[in-house]
Amino acid sequence: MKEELLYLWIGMIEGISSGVLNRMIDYFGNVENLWKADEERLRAVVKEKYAAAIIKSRNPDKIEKYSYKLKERNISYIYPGHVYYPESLSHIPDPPRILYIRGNMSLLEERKNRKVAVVGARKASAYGMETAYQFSHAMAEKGITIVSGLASGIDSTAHKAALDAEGRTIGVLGCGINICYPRENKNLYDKICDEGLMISEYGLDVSPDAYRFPLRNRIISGLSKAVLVVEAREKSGSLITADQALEQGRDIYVIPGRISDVNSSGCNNLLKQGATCVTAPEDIIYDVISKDDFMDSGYAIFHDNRSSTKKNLAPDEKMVYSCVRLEQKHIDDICAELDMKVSDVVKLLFSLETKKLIRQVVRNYYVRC
Amino acid sequence: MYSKIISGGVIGVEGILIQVEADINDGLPVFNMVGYLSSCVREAGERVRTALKNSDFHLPPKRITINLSPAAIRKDGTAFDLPIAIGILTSMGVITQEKLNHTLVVGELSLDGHVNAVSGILPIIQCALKQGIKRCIVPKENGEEAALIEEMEVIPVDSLRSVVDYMSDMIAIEPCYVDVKALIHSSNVSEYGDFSEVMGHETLKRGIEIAAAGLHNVLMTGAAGAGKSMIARRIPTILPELTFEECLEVTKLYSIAGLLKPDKPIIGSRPFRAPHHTISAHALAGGGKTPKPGEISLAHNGVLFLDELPEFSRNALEVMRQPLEDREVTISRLNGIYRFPADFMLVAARNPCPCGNYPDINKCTCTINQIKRYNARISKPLLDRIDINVDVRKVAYDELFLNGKGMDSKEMKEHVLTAQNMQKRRYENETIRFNSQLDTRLCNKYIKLSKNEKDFMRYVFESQELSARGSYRILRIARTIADIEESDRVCESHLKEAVFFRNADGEVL
Repeated sequence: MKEELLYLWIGMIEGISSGVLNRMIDYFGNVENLWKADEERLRAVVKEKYAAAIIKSRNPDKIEKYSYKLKERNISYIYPGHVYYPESLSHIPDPPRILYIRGNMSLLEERKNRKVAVVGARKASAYGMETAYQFSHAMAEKGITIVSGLASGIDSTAHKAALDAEGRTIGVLGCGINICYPRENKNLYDKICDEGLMISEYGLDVSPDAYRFPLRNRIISGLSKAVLVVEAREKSGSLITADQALEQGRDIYVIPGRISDVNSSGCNNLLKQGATCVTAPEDIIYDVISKDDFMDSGYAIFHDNRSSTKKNLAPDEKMVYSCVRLEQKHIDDICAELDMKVSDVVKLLFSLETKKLIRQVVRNYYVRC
Repeated sequence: MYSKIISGGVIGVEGILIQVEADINDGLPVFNMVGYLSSCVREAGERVRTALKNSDFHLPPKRITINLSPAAIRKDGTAFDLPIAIGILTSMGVITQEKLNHTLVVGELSLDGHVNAVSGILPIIQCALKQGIKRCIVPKENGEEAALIEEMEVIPVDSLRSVVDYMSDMIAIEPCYVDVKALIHSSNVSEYGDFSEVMGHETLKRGIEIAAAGLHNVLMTGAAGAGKSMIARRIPTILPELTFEECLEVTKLYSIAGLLKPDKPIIGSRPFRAPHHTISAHALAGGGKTPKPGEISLAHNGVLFLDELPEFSRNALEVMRQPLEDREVTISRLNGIYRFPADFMLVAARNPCPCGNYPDINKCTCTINQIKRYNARISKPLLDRIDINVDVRKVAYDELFLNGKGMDSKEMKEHVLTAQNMQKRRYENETIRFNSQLDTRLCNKYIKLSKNEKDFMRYVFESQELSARGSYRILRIARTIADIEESDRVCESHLKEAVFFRNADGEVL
C-alpha cells in the first residue's frame, strides 16, 4: 500500500489513543511494519483489544474508499514526516498521528513560527470580546497567524478579527473536520475554510464529544509559539490549554482583569503563577516577531484612525461619547448622567455607532470600540 | 292549547332569537322537550316543573310538549327556563298570549321560583332590538346590562310569581334605566396605576409610548422583579378611552363569557388580561363545544399581557398567529364557524435567560447554550409579529428613591392621542387603523422617504444585514414616532430611533 494510505489507516484505527499508537509505531520501527506485523506477534506485545482493533482495521478497500471520500470533499491530510506537518507539533508529547485539513495549506509553512493562539471563555463579557478582537486584529495585521478553537465567545471573535484584518487564521476543531460545532458559527466555519485553514485530528462525521476538546487544545497550543488567554473562569477549558502550553514550553500571555470579575479569575490566577501580563498587542507582537522583522513589515507603530474622528465630533456627540466606557453601560444610565431625553440620546448613540466609536453589545448596553 | 314565547340565545358573539313553543294536550301525562337541546337545556324541564309547583301553579295531568325553534340550531345555557315556564302558563291560560307578543323573555329559574341571572344578555337584547322587539323581561341582576340598549324597555324580575302578576296587570314594575355615560365614567377611573410610579425606566417608557401610539406589539426582556408586570399593567392608562361602541363590543364579550359583575354592568375601561403561562391553547383562543371567547377575545380593544413568554406551551403561542394578523379568531365546529373579535395589543415579557441575570456575566449562571435554547422557545413567526423590543433591567437605588421626575401617564397619553389622531385621519379610507397594520403596499403608499432618508435606510440595511421584513418594521415604527411629533414626513431622526427600538430578526437579546 502507498505510504500516505498507511498513515490514513493509522488515523482510522478506532479505540486506540494516539499515545498508545505512538508507542506501538516506535516499537515496530515504522508504520509499514505495523501494517505488516503478523497477528501472533501483535497479540504478544499489545493488549488483546488493541491487537483486535488493529487487525480489524486492516482493510485496504475501506481505506481506499475513505481516501476517495476525503478527496471528493476537498479534505487533505498530513502526518508526521509530511512536508507540511508542522515542526512545532512533532516536538510536543503525544503529537497527533494524523491531521485532516481544509483550506489554505500554506498557512502551515513555518520558516519562522509566527502563530499565536488566542483562547478564552465562551460566555465572554463585552470587554473580553472587545479585547480579544483588538489584540487579534492587531496581531493579524502584523502577519501573525491567529490560532483558535472556533468555540463561541472569545475563540470566534479572535477568528473574526483575523479575517477582518485580512490576516491569517487557523481553526482547530474538536470534532470531525466536516462538522461545524457550534452550529451557529457556520458562516465563520465556511469563511475560515475559504480564506484560512481548518484542522482536525478527527476524520469525517466524528461527533463533538466533551472529551475531545481538551485533546484538541494540545494541538492549539502545540501549533503556536505563544498562547494568549483573554478571559477564563476558575475552571476553564482555556486553563487546560494554558497547562498544555506550559508542558510544551510555549509562552503564556494573559490579559489581566478586575479581581471581582468571575470571567477573569482564571486569568488572574495564571498571572499569580507567573504568566506574562499584557496590556497592549505590542507586548506580544515584539516577542513573537523580532524587532527587525517588525520594522521590515513596513508598518508604523500602531496608528489609531479613530482619533481624527473623535476630534470632529459635534459637542453633544462628544458629551455622549465621554459617557460611554469600555465596560458595558445601559442607555438609561447614560440618559440619567447627561440629563437628556431618551429620544435624543438614541439618535446620538446611533451616529456614534455609525462612526464606529461605540458599539451596542447586547440590547441597550453600549461600550467604546 | 298552544302558545309561543320569544326568547334568545348566543351563537359566537351574535345573539339569535329562539321561539319557545309550548302545547298542552289531552293524553298520558308526560313532559316532552324537543329542539336540538344540550343537556343543560334539557334539565330545564325539572327546574320548571318544580319552580311552577313552588310558585303555587299546578301542572295539569296532560301531555305537555315544548319545542325550541329553529330546531336546527343547538341550544345551550339556562336562559330558557323562564320562557318555558311562561309558555306553559300561557298554554294553561294563566297569562294571555297577546300580552306576550313583541316581548322577549330570558332567565334561569331556581327551584323556589326565583329568577337567576344568565350570561350573554347584551347580544340577545341587541339582536331583539334589530328584529323590532320593544320590551324584554330579564332577571333583575341583568337589568342594568340589558338597559345599556336605551331603546329597549327592560322589565327586571326576581321571581316567576312577579312575572305572572306583571303580565296580568296586578303589579307594575318600573322599567330599568341606567345612565350609560355616568357608568362608563365611573368604571373609567383607573384601577391600573400611573406611569409616574415606574422609576428609572425612561427608555422602556419611551418604547411603550411608541408601541401604544401605533398599537405595535411589544416584547419586554428583563430579570424577574425588574418591573415588567408593573409596566404592562399601566399600559391601558395611556391608551385612548373606549368609545361607547367599543364599550358595548367589549361588554358583549364579557357578557357571553359570564364575567360581568352585577355592580358593574359595562366594561368602560380598556381590558387588561394576564393569563398564566400554563394556559391551554383553547383557553387562550376560545373553544368548547359551543365556543366561548378565550383570553385573546377578552383582551379585545385592550392589552393582552403574556408574562414568561418562553414558558407558554408552543401550541398556545402558535394559535395566536392568525388572530394577531386578522384581529379576530375563527373557530370551526361541526355546527358552524364562530368568529370572535380579538383586536388587542400584545405585550409579552420574558427573562433574558433561565436564571434571569444575563447580560450581567458575574451573576448569570447559565451557559451560552442554555440561553440560546431558552430564547429559541419562542417561534420566529410569532416574534415576527412583534415590532418593538425593549429591555427592563433592575434599577439602582438612586433611581428608585431619589430621582422623582420622569414621564407620567398623562404626558404619555397625550402623545399617544396625538399619534392616534394622525393615524385616524391618514387611514380614513383604508381598512386599517394603526401603523402596526401597515403592510408592504401601504408602507410604500404612506411612507415617502426623501433622498437623504433613503440613503440612511440603505446604510442601515447593509450595515445591520436587515431582511426585507426588518426594514419594513423600521419604517412602521418610524411612522409612529413621526406621528407622535405630528410630522407628516418621516425624517432621519425618526428612523434612527426606530432602529433602536425595533425587534431585530432572530436576535437573542
